[in-house]
Amino acid sequence: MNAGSLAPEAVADPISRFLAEQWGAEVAVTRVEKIFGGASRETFRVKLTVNGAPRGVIVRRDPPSSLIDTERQLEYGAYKAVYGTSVPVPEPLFLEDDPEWLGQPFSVMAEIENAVTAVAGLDAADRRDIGEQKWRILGELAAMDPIALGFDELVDVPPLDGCAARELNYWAGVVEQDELHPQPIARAAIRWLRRNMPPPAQKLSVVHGDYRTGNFLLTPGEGIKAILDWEMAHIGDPLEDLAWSLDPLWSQATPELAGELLPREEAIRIWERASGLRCDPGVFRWWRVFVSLKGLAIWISSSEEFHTGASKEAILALAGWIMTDRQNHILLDYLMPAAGAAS
Amino acid sequence: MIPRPPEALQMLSQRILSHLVPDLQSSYGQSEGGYVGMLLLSLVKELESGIERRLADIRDMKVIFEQASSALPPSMLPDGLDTVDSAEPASLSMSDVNALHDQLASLLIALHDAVDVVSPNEAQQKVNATIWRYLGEHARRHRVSP
Repeated sequence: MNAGSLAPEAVADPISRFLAEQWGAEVAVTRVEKIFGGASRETFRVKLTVNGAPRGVIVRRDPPSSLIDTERQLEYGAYKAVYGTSVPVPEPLFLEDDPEWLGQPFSVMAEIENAVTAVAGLDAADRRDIGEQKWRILGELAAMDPIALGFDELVDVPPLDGCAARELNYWAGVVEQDELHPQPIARAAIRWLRRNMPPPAQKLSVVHGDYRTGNFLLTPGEGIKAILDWEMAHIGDPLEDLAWSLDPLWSQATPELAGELLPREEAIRIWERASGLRCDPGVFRWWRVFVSLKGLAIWISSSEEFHTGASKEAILALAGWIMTDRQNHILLDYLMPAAGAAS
Repeated sequence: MIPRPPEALQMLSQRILSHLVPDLQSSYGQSEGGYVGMLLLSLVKELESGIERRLADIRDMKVIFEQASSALPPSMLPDGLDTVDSAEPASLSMSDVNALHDQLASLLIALHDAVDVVSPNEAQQKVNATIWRYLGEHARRHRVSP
């Protein structure tokens, strides 16, 4: 089996044999479609019949250059840990490390049917409903005990007073390692963050790591069906996820609506109510600057990955250029002395 | 020969976005095609004025270094700052202009480190303010998104 990029038709036979073996059933693939599932993995929607009954699954296959074995296990483990709680996720079915089947390791999830990720087409009432659910679910995730969920078997458990420093060190390291050009705004942000470290977290929580509009599936009129993309999940300060979800980057089209859904202050109130935690504006400022640096680090890293040929996905080049530009402007708004503080 | 590369690139990107992408069968292909078309559109501006904008950055950074050299004690200045005034790109190719731009940007970061401190003196404050103004101008100059 080819370890490079796979055409949909090359997936049908091996995945039907794999699933037949796992389920001990007759499996016939009726349709395979490659879908956009982020830059990190090839994603396929597979329609099949199991003993004659129709069913859909999502197959996520590692890219050829993958050095992200731990991320695959983390992502799958996170789905398993959260599945069945009030935080909706697709049912995780299989994690397969053997490259014999698809040329690379892969995971299989149940498909969530008739759901989309885009909010652009929603009317005002649907936007409000989805927004209320989005921040309520995030608050409920923040309120959960990560140890009781089993996350300590997937990731390190930082001390309450070590969450911020650990994340800052990690993402500052990514900037340093992956920058193709000197990044004076990122360096200024790192300097500011080191100088203004926040107090210890109120509690340790599961931090999704990329909780934003676009990373959940919804059905208009029905609500949020599943939270996706857990590969950056970790245990940390729950304010990190709240800040990431409110980053202006996700509100380009409608700056007055966080994540293009709700006014920012309302989103914070919903989160506070659901989590039982407080969003102190002074502390939150640090996290807002931090998540913008984290975003910048991700876009810088995307650019490096495209430039070196580790991945040729066009989204990486686009993110590495346009998103870097946007994130630099956001950081300038926060840090430029004359502009005052991030509010 | 293509005498006007930016216009040619613009037409090619429009061709991709308006003709080829809608004809693609899979949603994945449409996404990728759309991203490629958008990237080509962004490259139009870069091809047209990318070198000019980098040269403007280089001019601005040299002014900052000159101001810093006269206002700050030598111990506060990063190594190599004294030689940049006369530095010019080896040619006007993008790679040579980039090389000098990167060299000066690294010096700018080191200088910013020295002046963006908790209790700055007056000279540090002034240089710091100048650097922040430059970063704002640099971001505006290179803006790709509306």
